[in-house]
Amino acid sequence: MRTRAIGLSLVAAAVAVVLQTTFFAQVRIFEVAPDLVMLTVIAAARRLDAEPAVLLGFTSGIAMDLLGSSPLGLRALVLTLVAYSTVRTRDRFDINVVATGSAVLLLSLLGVVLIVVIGTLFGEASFRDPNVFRKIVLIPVYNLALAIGILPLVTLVLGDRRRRESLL
Amino acid sequence: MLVVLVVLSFLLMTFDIRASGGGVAGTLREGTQAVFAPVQDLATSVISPVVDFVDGLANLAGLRDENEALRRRIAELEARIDEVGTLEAEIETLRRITDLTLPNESIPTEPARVIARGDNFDSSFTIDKGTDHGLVVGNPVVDEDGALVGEISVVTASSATVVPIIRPTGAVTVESQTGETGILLGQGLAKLIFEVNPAAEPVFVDYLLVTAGSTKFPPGLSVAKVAESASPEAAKIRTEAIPLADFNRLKLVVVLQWTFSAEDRQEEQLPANETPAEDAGSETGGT
Repeated sequence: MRTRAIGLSLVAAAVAVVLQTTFFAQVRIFEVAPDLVMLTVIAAARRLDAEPAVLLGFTSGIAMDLLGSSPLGLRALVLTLVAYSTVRTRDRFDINVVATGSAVLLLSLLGVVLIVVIGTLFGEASFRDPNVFRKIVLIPVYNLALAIGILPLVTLVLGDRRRRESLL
Repeated sequence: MLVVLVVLSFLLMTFDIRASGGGVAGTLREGTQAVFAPVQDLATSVISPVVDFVDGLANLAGLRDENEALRRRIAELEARIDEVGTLEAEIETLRRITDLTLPNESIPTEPARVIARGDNFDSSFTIDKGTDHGLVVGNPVVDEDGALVGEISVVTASSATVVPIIRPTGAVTVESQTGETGILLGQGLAKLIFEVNPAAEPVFVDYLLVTAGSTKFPPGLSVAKVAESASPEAAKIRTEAIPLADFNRLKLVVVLQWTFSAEDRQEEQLPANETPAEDAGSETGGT
């Protein structure tokens, strides 16, 4: 069951990577697109065990790094930390819709800020981008909006972790 | 596990930056792109009508007072108009590409479609042509008007990654209308920094900057326009320039199948001990 959940989460991440680099490359509202890969990692990390969750974050990030031109490992690091943060906080936030929404918002904000800060440290010019603050604000908001559909979908596909644990 | 992955990420970033996108990281990028490019190509084909539809819906914002039936009808019509508009725009772009006149007409060209882009913080993009079409790493890329866009950094059989000149690590040797040679530095955003050192003449707004000819780019390609006038201070000019290519709207580009060769060096008739300024490695668009 766990292997199946891990496999499905990898497929979900791959689909997210393709959609991020194609669909959301064209659909940008106020020149900013949601970070679907980050949202998928957050959604899957809520349902996976700790180690598969951070590995999923790392794998998704590496895929994005390999398809782009930013330093290899930047998004891997960020999504690993986002996945870890999700695992650490999920029991506190998975209590109602408002708390879960807040978690998505804050975790996405954490991810975007990490991309900007670590990217700047490794030679990216993220802070010089005049749209950087717009991106920092809008990406979490867009992720929150998308979470309405993505979180239930990922839960449906991966199953409920707590239910699995109680069955074991 | 977390510590291992974090350390691994930092090591990867360090090695990737030190290797300037080459080495194992470059090979991994080629492999990943080879796997994802066909899927991205297919996804782009499928998604384009959806994007047109979304655009159509976005255009409906001003019609809220209309009744529901009219809204649906207008949405359909707008979507169709957008589709037609998109097709017309593509035809126009293709026509411009066909009519494109480059400073050096002997350079073979290869039109290509943009099939994928990096995320919000990555300005690179992927095109649907690769080594099967004769492209190699380092080939310059221009838009449909011939304005310099960037260069190919990774190439697979059927796709290639283009690193734009606006990348923070990018630099292009250019010549201004005054005939002075300077360097355009990428800033990771829509403006470039134009530096001339030593400078004798002032530069003024809208002065055209074209490639000066180097190991990276052939001479005469239009690149940017000066955004702020500037006069030499301590025999140096540093001002802003705006790239001519619109990096957010690129859908079709043209790859120049050009790389610097010994013949180019001879044609430039450089003395044996003289190389272009950017040969020292200052001109780069790498990772």
